[in-house]
Amino acid sequence: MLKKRVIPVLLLRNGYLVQSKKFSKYQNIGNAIWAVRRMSEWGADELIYLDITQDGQYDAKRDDLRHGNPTSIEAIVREMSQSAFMPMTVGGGIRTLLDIEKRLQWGADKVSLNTLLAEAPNLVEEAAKEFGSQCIVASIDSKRVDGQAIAFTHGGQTSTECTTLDWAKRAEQLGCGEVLLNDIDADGQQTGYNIDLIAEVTQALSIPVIALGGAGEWFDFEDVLSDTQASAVAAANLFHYRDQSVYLAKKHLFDSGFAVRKPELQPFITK
Amino acid sequence: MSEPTSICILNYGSGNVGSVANICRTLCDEVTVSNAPEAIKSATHLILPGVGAFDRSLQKMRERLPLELIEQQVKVDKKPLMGICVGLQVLCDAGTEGGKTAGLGWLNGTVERLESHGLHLPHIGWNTVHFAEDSWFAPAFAEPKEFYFVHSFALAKSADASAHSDYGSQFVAAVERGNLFAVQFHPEKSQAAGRTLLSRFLEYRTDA
Repeated sequence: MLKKRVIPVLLLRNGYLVQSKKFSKYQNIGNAIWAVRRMSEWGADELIYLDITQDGQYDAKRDDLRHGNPTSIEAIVREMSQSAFMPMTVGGGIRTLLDIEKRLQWGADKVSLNTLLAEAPNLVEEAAKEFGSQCIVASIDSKRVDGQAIAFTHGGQTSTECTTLDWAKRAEQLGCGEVLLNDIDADGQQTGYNIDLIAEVTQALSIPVIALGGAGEWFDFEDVLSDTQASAVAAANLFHYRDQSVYLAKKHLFDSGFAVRKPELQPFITK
Repeated sequence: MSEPTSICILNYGSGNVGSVANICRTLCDEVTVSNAPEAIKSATHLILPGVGAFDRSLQKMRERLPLELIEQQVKVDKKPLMGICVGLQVLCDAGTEGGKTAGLGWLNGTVERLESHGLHLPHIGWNTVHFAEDSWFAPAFAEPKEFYFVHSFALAKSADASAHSDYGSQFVAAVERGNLFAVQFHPEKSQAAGRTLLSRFLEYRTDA
């Protein structure tokens, strides 16, 4: 049977791996390429790399970072493709078909689109036809406004004035093959996923949904897998601070009887 | 004495040739990505990768690959070839994605939309693959193993089926006919399991 996926999300900002809280506070947490290797060795089912660098913004680098080599998405994707042999989604700053084509050529399997869904839905539609629905992921950031879940774009800054559910349905109609559903209010809070929203969206769509935002402990994954039809659980911050985190998360789920791939450490393959 | 293993990944502009080449390079010193007749003739193993839609992919292959030469290499010289994902699909009799289109017909069966019975499509993720006892790959996978899939279309059945998987209903995960192999999943994205599968493919030698 198809297994539920456990997916680490890596956030890249001005070349550094960062931790995010509510899309507004960021902390540098290390080298982006080492993270690829770690997540691969720990048996992640897939990786999502999001470049959340805001245009024209400059970050004063922390000077206590060990070798903070700023790294481009291109370098990361190429490294990944040469050593990790696992599916990888890349998002952030994608505005043209050429942006998509480049990322696929570097070795990404899918691209995630967020702002483009609002700015140029026709391009999203074209991309799904050109590259196939299977490689176009709609990244949807949801935020509660007056008690209603509303979809936001531009790194959570701009409201679409459309409910998250309708925005997700629209993404499906445009030909997206998957939805990455993030909850801005839960981001970095470790208070658990927005189960009601995930349940509502997964029920209404016929394409797979990856749930993101709010995971604080392994138990939070259980709620998503038990109470919603999400195809995958994703988390960012949770996976960075503990050795073998992804492996331990999968082991917890596997031992509790959830349909995840058997946890196995994957040897780092060199020639 | 057999010549050293060399792989030619057939290049017709499919998006994932890079990933396939990368994993092959961890298994074999001689890996080329090419559509040149000389490269195809001199390789001991051929791989036909693929992502995207059946009709568009097949059209690109007809434009950019010397298909007659490849057919002769596979059918007359018995050179081992492995199709991956859409590379499996186009080898079959026909496909229905983008309207019913004839395939190359080297393998039996028609590729249709998955009967997922309400499960989300595309079928994306790690699913268990059960190899038939007489499959070339069976010795490498005594236990069923998970591989990474991403597709909406598949063979429901085939006289050449050598492995199956389930998603709402059973579908064909791999096909084999002598030296011709094809898999619906992506070994190049299936971590250690995928590498084991490709390694076993390279053990198939016509000159052994």
